[in-house]
Amino acid sequence: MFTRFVAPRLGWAIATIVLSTVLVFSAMQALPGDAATQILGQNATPEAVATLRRQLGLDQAPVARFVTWLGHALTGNFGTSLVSGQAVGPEVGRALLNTSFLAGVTILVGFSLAMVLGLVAGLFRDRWPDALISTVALVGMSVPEFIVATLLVLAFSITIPLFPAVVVAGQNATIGQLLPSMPLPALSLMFVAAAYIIRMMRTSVIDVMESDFVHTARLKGITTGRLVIRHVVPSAVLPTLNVVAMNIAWLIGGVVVVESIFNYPGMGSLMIRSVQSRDLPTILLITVIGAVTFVACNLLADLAATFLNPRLRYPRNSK
Amino acid sequence: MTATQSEHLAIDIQNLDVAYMAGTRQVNVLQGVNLALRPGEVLGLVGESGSGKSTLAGILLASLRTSSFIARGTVHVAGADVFKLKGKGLRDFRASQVALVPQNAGAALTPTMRIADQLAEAFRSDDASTATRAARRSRAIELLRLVRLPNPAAALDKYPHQFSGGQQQRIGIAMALAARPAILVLDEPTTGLDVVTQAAILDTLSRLHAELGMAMVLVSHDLGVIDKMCTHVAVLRQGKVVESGPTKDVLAHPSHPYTRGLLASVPRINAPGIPPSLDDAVIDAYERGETLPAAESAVYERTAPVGTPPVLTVRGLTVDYNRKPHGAPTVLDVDLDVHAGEIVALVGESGSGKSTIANVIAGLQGTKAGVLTLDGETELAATVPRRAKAVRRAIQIIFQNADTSLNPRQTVRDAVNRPLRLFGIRGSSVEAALADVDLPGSFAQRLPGQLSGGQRQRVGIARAVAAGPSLVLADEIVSALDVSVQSSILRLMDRLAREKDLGFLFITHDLAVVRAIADRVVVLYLGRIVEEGTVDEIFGSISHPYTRLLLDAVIELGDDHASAPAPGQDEVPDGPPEQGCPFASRCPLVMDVCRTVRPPVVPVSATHSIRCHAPLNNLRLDLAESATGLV
Ligand SMILES: Nc1ncnc2c1ncn2[C@@H]1O[C@H](COP(=O)(O)OP(=O)(O)OP(=O)(O)O)[C@@H](O)[C@H]1O
Ligand code: SF4
Ligand SMILES: [Mg+2]
Repeated sequence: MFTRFVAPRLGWAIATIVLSTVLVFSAMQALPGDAATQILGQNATPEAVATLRRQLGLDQAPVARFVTWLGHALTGNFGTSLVSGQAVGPEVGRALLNTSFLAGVTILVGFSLAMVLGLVAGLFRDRWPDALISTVALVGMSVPEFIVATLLVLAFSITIPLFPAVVVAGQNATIGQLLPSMPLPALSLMFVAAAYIIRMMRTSVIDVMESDFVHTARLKGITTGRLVIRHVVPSAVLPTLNVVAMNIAWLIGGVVVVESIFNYPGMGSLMIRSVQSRDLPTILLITVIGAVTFVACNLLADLAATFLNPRLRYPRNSK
Repeated sequence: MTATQSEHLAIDIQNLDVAYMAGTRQVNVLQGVNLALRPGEVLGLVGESGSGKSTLAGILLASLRTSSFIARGTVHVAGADVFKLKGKGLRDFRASQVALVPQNAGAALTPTMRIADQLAEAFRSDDASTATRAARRSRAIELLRLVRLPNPAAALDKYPHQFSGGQQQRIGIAMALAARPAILVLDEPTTGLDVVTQAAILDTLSRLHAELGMAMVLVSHDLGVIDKMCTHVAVLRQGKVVESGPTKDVLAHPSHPYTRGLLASVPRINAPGIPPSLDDAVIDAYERGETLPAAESAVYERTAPVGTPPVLTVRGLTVDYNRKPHGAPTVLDVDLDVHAGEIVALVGESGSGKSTIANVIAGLQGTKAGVLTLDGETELAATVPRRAKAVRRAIQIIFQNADTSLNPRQTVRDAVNRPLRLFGIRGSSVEAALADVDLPGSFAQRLPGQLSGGQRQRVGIARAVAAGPSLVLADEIVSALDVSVQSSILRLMDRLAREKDLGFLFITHDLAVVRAIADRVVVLYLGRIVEEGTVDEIFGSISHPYTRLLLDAVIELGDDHASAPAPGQDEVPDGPPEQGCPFASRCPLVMDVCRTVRPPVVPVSATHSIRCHAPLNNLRLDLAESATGLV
């Protein structure tokens, strides 16, 4: 089990995480300016910049700095923010909590809804519920999230003032304070991510509905409800799982855009601020968290597929 | 017939037309069908592919393809007017009166549900004997025992993929019986299964019918199966019942030329030669009320070439799919010769390694050991890229499934032209290659979708032969074809072998086809040769116990002697044993020595050899019967 299933994936996971930090680190080197110039502003003297650089350790060679960072990171020490001088952990942690909450709501509500909608579309293939759902999904796939967000704001906070257009609670708001402004960012994320899941689920339901085993089960005279739940759904969900995992990973990116539009105090906003201030330790920690999430989602999808698919759970020759 | 009469019938179909719309035109799939079946009778539906057999079978369960509709007529099954049933009424009808055993149980069982749950679903909701969970379990076990599934209790908690094809079919039958239906519909229940498994399943079905007495409808293209199983038969052609009646009468005195043609085109293991194929012109004329003289009606007997040089020599071929160092190799120590103009058959059940050997010869599969020689001089490199162009040209392969091996968007011309261009063959043309396989040159413009199954297989052959090979590997090329098309392809093979001195390695599991076409036969079991000889020797009186099992399992038209294998004998082990005789686990003659020592090659004649520890005398047909008690 370990050597066949876990070991190769673990190696791949570690490689993904390390590689992404290397990429982000290099990209930051390529940007003009660094934390010292950003903190001191345009009018700073070269001497002042050089001094601050020395204090921040930015005067060393990039490779040496990355190796030092990696060494510390492996022991769980992700350094201090170049801007606030505080350890990066707590600040990123707070942002992570907020983002997880937003993503959690999106995934729980949006993705399950998407699966159900995909199922309905597949079952009512080429009739009006399918036409409606498929059109919505198509729109969701072709419109970028910032437009969706803008339209939602126009509709639900300007035309019908139901929800606030942006979060005003500030950086240190508690989840409770954030709750009222949650619906619009969550909806924007759902709309776009759900589209792919709906399409995939629909296609896979249609395939399964045409299979011999569904035909046979129907001829047994069982009810449609039972047919769908016991015979269709388990087989139809399997190919959809990978799309779900990909979408969770995609959420990481979508979150950045949506959070900054709504001024939501999560990882996305923090990322953008940190890039502006060239706060490398914060950026790297966010990168690590993003990469770990991505890897974990894929691993979970694989595990879920194994769990749901009897062919993988019980290989032919096992007794 | 009046309504009261139809209540006494299990099935009563009157003037039935089933159709679908092609644009504004109505196309009939079934036309003017009248059928009646009394309780307890067994009706066989026979006809060629596309004749409407499955459509008719589906109708009995009120099931139609989505675009089809009933254009005319009535269908009463178990007293119910099936196409008047809706919603709950329809569900109840399907759940209690009539059940279907689908063609391919492997695909027809839900892969994500345990067997126990799938069986339980089929129990009637009003059946008090299955009210509790424990009761359902014990009834499920009882059903699986009824269909002779080994170890029924353990089977309940398994998933479909954990069973072999034959076992899946047994589960499919058990599921159909779960509701104690009055009528059981079986759509090709044994097509695609090995002969031994087929014999075992049919035997189970006969026994169930005797015990439970339900009416059965059995769809099959195999007249032998119909003959063995059915009290009545209806012969379908192009959606019409051309002839029906008690099986023995219809098969002994067929009145319609189509039935006569079908019967004549069945190859037999007890008689050599290629049977004649159907002549559609004669049948169409008869349908119009005219008579045409029947064309060729004689069986054609092929003669083996004598003293021709070898085109392929295989020595000590061993293939090992095992990843780990232990475990017996999949194919072990296979020796094989094919001479110019000779047709050598490689026979064995599924999983015996037939296709693996073909792939090795074609250079598509690596080996662990063995030497392959072409034309007695060129040693063959293991893989295609390392083979010279001339070698690649000399060995051509024709695949089982002509549908998938031809590119649907490529015309016949493109497909046949490819080898001509690839090997730079001058002095030949696509038209000439098509003429070689008896297709008119005009077919070059067509796409595969515009060809029938037999025509597609001819294009596949034309493509292989156009390269000008000396050896053709033919992997199950007639298995998917109707018998009458089959014989025309066999005749074509015979002619090509003679005219072009082609050597054929013909892979098949169908012994009747082997008898019709092969010069020599190699019998393979779990990747080991167990017997080889000329076709007459293999079908003669001294046989390896495995060959005997295969021969006994063949269900022949008009032959009541086909014997069912003993319980458990239809189950092929997962892989060959590491030592001893591969057949030891199923052999009725097994001795202690068989489990440890590899059987020696025992020569019976200069051309016939058997690998077995048993004395040859015990392998004689007459003695073997009394020794094994199989019959
Ligand atoms: N709704 C439909 N639309 C188009 N063609 C149809 C439709 N229903 C049936 N057919 C055609 O009618 C013919 C009869 O079909 P059917 O499946 O009953 O044949 P069959 O005798 O069972 O053949 P096989 O032996 O190949 O299983 C076929 O040519 C099939 O393609
Ligand atoms: S060697 Fe033994 S087990 Fe094998 S076929 Fe002969 S008698 Fe049977
Ligand atoms: Mg059919």
